[in-house]
Amino acid sequence: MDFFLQQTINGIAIGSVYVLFALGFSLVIASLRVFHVAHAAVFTWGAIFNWHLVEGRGWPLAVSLAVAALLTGALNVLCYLALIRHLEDRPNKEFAAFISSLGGMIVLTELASRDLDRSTVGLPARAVPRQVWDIGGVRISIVQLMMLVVAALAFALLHWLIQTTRFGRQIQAVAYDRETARMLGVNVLGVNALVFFLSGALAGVSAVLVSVSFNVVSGSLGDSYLVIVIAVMVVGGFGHVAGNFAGGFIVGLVSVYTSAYITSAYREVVIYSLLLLFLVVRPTGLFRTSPLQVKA
Amino acid sequence: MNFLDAFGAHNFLIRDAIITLLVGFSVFAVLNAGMFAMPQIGFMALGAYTAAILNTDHGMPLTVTLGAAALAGGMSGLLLGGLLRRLDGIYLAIGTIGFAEIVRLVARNLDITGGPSGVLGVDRSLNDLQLCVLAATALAALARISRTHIGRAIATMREDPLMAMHQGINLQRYRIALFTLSGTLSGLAGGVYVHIAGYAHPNDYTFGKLVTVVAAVILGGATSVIGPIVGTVITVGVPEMLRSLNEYRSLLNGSLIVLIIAFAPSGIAPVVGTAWRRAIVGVRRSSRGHRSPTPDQLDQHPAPVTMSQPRAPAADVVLSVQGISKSFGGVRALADVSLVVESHDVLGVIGPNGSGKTTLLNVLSGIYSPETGDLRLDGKSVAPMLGHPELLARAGIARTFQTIRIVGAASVYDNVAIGAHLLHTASVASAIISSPSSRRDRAAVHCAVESALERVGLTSLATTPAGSLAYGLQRKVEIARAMVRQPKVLLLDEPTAGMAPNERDEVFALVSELSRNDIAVIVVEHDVESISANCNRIMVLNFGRIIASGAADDVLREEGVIDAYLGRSTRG
Repeated sequence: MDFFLQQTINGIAIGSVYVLFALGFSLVIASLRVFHVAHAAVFTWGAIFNWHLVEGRGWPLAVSLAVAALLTGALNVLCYLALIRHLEDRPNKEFAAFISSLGGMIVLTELASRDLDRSTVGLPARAVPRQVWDIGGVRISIVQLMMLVVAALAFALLHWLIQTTRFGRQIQAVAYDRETARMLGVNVLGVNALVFFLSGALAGVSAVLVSVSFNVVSGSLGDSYLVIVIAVMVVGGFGHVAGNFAGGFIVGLVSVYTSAYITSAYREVVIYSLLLLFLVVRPTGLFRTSPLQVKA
Repeated sequence: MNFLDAFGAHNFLIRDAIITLLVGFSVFAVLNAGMFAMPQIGFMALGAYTAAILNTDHGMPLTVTLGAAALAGGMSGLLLGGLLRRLDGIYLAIGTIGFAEIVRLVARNLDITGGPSGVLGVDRSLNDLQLCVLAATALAALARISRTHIGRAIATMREDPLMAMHQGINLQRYRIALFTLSGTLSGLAGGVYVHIAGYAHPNDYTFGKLVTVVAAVILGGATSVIGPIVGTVITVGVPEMLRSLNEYRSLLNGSLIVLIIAFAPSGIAPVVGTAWRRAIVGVRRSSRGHRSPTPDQLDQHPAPVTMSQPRAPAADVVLSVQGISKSFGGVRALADVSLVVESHDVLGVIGPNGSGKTTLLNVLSGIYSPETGDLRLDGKSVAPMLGHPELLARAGIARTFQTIRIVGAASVYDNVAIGAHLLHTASVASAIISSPSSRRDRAAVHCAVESALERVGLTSLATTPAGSLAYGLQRKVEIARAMVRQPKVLLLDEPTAGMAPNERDEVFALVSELSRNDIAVIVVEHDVESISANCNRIMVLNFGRIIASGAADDVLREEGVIDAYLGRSTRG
């Protein structure tokens, strides 16, 4: 029972990182109808920025996390300007933007691998907090607690931004009808750039948490989480905030249970099967959103 | 037979490139139809492991293993295409990428596939001649398909799926068939690969590998079979020729994709093609138009679609609609609408904006399925076909659209020929080998298209790209496309919007002629004058209900109709 409880806590912790990663992805999909795969490479860069700051400059994790988030946010804005913006008026925008983003992903991933000399690095021991609490036989590490707290904060921030602020209303207006929003005086370019900034920052934060938790930074870090986070979004429903939460925790738990009770070799197979199952049986996800459907 | 050794140290690279090209063809097969599907590396892995296991564990010879590899790919394509038939756009990309990753991970973990070390010791018996023959056969088959009406249908479903359905093109069937074709090609490529490399290893079938192939196809251009060839040559050849660039291959590929999508979205092949045509212009200019059958073909097979002599006006009920209702959320767009159209009718449907006119046409043509109601064509209920444009098109309904839906880059002739899709009755196989029956079909379609073009007065513009025409002419292209297959009922959604008065008269003259030739017409219009002058019956809709219907003059005199149009709610 303790083992099960322990796995559940591990699942929820890693699930909350999936949620963070998926939220950034979803934000772009929901507001621009763009599947920005280079997001995965931006994620990789989040871990690399953080590694440079901690390893090279000796910054404390709390500061480097924030700076890495700002940097990935800026990097994602660059992605928007270089990869997506000029394609928004294309008739086959979905496809064009996806392919363009794929090209950007190849470049950013390659640059990341080069930056690390194609090796896998880890954070210095001094930088990783090691505190672990034992509560009735169940262990919770400070990193796991951090994951939960950061995910909760990010959710609260996002919810506040989108539901209550002027900026949130603008995002919704642009998502609903870009042209009308523009005519009503919304600075569409600015709103989109901010959406990409937020999305990139979320990717950065989740990347730092992952790299601290597993102490692995490599050029292909984002690739390995890409399909997992896609599964999160498909299970929960694309562009649906609450859905992302449900999806993130479901996928987190499923992956941890599979590793614990079956074998870690089949962890991904189970996650991908879950993804395919949802696509075949309930493509709209648990929360029935279909923002990407082609209009007749 | 290994003549590629003549390339010295490059021989492996070239063999690899030819295999990449086979997978590229497989990517092309679905992308060209506008399907955003990327399962090919999964199919390739299935083919590779099938061939490798049959060869090593069961000692099967090359021909058997390659056949089995193609079959394994094809069957899994059929299965996956069927399972994912409801998916579109990004969802399809995600689902298929997920499939490919599952195949790789399962292969890496099963005993029969040799786990992480793969299957070793496959005989390397495939020679270069066989490799080249296989690739050339695949190329020839794809090129052949793209020149038949099937190729035209595929291009149409890429450009405008909704319009394609209305020409009777069964998108689901096409999608599943193309998935199967894609699977066959990739499966074969996998089999070929293991017989050259001598092993099947899970690391050869990663997402990264897929990205390279997709990049090549996009670079070359996904709308012509030459595209994958051009793309593969560039992505493999250029970094190899410029040795100093080899280290930067990934960076180069990635940046090229971004640039191509930004500046030449249909790939490099069409750009090269245009330059080539420009270079030889004058030599073959006149023969570069639409492909017409030879004169003797036309003599042998006189046009079966004739629309000249008016027949005796025996009025039969062609179409009857009973009690159709359709709501969107809380809005009742159509409430209990019933109507009858006889064979020589021109029924005008008018009503204020939002009164349900277009919704009515959308129900009749199969875009929406109504909550209640029945539709009968020639006395037979076609209620099960409601919501299926491709079936209703087959049953004899054709339409034009309020916002013009033509393929702008294609010629006027080709646009009209899309409408004649259903006139091709020969099987797919006979179309590909160009059998006598399929040649008869083509001659018949050619005559039908020529005659439709003549009747809308576009003969002289047949080779012009339809997108470059003026608005009114584009509408005529749509009308020609709708009438070319001699439907029972023709639905026209504001056919004269944006036209000059004289063009408007021409269109309505054509409408009257069609109705005399056994095509019943339902026309939605705003222009009450044209409607009253040219329709023998009028139906007025307001808030989804029929408020008046009958002979033109009577209807327009009714108070309710005047109220609806002038917006009076009470009269004083």
